[in-house]
Amino acid sequence: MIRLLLAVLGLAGLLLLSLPWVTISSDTEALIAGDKTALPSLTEGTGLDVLVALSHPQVSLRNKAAKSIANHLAQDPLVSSAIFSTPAPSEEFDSWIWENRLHLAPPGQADLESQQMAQRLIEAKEYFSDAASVIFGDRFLLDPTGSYWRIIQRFDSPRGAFPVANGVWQSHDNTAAILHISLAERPFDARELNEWSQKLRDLAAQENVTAHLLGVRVIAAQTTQFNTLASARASTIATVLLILWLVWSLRSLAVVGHVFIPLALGVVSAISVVNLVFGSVHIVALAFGGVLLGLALDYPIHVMAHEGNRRRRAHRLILLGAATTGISFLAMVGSQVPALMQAGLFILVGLCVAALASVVMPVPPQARLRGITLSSFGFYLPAKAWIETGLIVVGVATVILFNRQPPITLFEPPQHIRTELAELNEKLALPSSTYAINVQGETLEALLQNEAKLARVLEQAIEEGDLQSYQSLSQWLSPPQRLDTSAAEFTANAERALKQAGMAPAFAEQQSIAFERALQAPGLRPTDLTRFSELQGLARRLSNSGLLWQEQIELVLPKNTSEPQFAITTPDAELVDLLAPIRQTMTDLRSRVASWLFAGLICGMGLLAAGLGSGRDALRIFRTCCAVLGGCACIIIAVYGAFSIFHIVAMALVVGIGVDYDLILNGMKDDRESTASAKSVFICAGSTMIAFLIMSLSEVQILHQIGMTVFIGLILMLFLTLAQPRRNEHQ
Amino acid sequence: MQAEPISVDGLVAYEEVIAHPAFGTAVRNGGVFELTQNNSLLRRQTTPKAEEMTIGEEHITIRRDGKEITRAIPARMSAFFTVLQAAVFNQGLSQLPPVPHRIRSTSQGWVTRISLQGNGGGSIVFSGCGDILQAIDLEMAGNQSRQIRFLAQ
Repeated sequence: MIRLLLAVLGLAGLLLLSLPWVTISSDTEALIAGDKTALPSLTEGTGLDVLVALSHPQVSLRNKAAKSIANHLAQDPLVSSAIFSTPAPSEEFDSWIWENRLHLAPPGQADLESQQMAQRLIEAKEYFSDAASVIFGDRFLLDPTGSYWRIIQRFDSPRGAFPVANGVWQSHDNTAAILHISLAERPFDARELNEWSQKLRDLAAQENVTAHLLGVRVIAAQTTQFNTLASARASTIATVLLILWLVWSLRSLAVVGHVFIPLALGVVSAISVVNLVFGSVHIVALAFGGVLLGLALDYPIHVMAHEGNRRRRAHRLILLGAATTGISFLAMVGSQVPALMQAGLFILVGLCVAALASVVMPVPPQARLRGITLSSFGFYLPAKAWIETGLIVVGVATVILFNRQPPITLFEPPQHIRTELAELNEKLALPSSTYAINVQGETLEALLQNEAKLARVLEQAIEEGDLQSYQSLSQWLSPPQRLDTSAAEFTANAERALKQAGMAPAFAEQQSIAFERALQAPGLRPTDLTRFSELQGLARRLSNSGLLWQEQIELVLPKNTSEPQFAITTPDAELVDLLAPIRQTMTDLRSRVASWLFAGLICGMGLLAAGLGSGRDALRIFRTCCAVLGGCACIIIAVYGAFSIFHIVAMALVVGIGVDYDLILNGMKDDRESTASAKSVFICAGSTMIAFLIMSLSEVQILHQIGMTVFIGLILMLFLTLAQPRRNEHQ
Repeated sequence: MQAEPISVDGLVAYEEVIAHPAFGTAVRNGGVFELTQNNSLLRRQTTPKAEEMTIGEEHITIRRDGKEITRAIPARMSAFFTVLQAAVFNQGLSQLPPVPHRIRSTSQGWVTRISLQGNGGGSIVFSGCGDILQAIDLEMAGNQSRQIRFLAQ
């Protein structure tokens, strides 16, 4: 008992010593091998944007709230900027627009004729009865070609932009004022961000409006919080039930404490080694490793169940089982996916340390097992080998024929957050996050020409109700046109136009100077996209590789439409599935995990054959494991439609459990006291089922998938392990 | 500076005269200024065309022909709108950043000028008599001017 106490104290000390220098990482890039640009970023660009809808039926009240909250957020260290309407263009951008007007909205030949110019000048003079003439009037007069007027018209009615009421953005259904917040560039901290979101909601409530938040970071923080709470709930329930089960089975709290020591030692060692090798421990490695180390709980129970020579034999089988499973998982190092490499090492170290601790630790004298002799459930299964082979074949065929692309639920928030987002999306009419159109051109001119052709298709789709709106560069910028008019011709035409409009012909001189200056302007250059904050929205969609200009045109699809119902046939334009890179990433990840785990399984079985000194026994265990995998595959594909990486890793855990049970049940059954082995397997199977059944009921996808797979696999594994190919052998 | 235009029932009538080198004759607009409940200045134009403009801190909102357009006030015009808003109802003109100006006496009363910096310069000229502000004149580069004369109604 004293030794047990010392061991617990030593373990606690070890844990306290190791905690300060262990870094837990949740970096999504650690889930990708190679190019990591396909994943959305939490730390830059749109990852820092948050849209806030402040709902209230009264426009004035919600607008007041928006202004007040924006002012309040201006002092917030987590916020870089908070705006409620398009800010005034900077002096520099304002001048740039004016200087480059002939490139941004080039005049047609008719616009340079005196008659057309005269018409523009008359309109410009009439415009001076408009209050806004104080801003634009002079420039409308100075540019009789109408280029500047066209640019301002585009700014006045930008497609897809939020409507404005009294200087504040409004939702499209006119129920909410909109705030746009840019978060400060800080490391992602879910707790900090959730507290910030809650403060913002409280602030809105004080202003009598309801706040709905939309942003990558906010959603990620909410999802993390939800998952943490749900995981903690599942863990607590599972732990309580598990302890109750073990107390009943082992008849002593002290013995239950003893059982947990190897597991705890295994976890601490695994965390320490992984942190030492990789510099941090990824949350996925911790989750996978923690779950798989559940196996380690079985080792001291198997040790306790046996005495004398049988215990020494059990020691050997436990070490062999741990090494087989550990080697199988270590193969994940080959996947080159950082988080999975860590998981492989974590499991090997954790299982081996736990198995060694179980073997080395003295067994408490009061250890006695209560339970059912599992082998009493043994039954005769004729042609077991053929049935197992059949299950393998059906499993492989099901995977080949019916396995679909893996779900991307790993990156999706839980259902209640998705529902709120869908409502908000409808309110704000945001661009589709699934589909966009990529348009390319060798030059900016070619890109704009391609977009102009595409615009006809999109306008047609809007007319037919297949598209709500879209945002493209061509709505703001016209394809460049060659200007054949000389400065002298322009001056002559401008003079004539001023005369025709009943205005002062002498003003033509000022118009000519402005025209000649505008001719010299360079137009839109790639550097302008980063130079002006006003072009940030454009820069996000537009890219220039040096050889190619490309724009990703955002589409706002009609309500209740998930994909575009129109064909894109114009040159250098294609509909793109924005989720495809994530799906591809998940498919690659699944392939890597599956292939490396299978390779690991083969190595593990080689080790098992060497350890048992019997290739035949190892092959029998391998066949049973593969049959269980085949059965699991059929059920998972029938229920979920596709394997996720969590299903696969959980199936590998089933193999680990199966190897252990088979080794203990069949490796000790020639002994006269084999009932003790059968009892220990019964207790272990009971504890595993409790833990994974609770996990399978969790709303957290990772826990649910692992729990459900292990639960199904365990039932299949017990069925096949208890099935005996020869009559009377089960008795 | 404490002068303010004559207001009747909270309304200040005005006539705006816009001169531009391109024009043969100046353009004239007329209407009233009104202070809204939330302290924004509302310019209600009646001639030659009905129009309403609300001047906010950073935006102007124009309602005309049943349409509403909100425009951000560009930096080059922000001084003019700030001064206009402050001067019409004397709501804190003294709170504006101190600018060098000198009051000059004329036969009709007084004149003072605030020079605008940047964007080609320009200046805002205030004229009045005693504590009555009679006009604000925005003089811009290129011989343009926009004079707002406050009327006694």
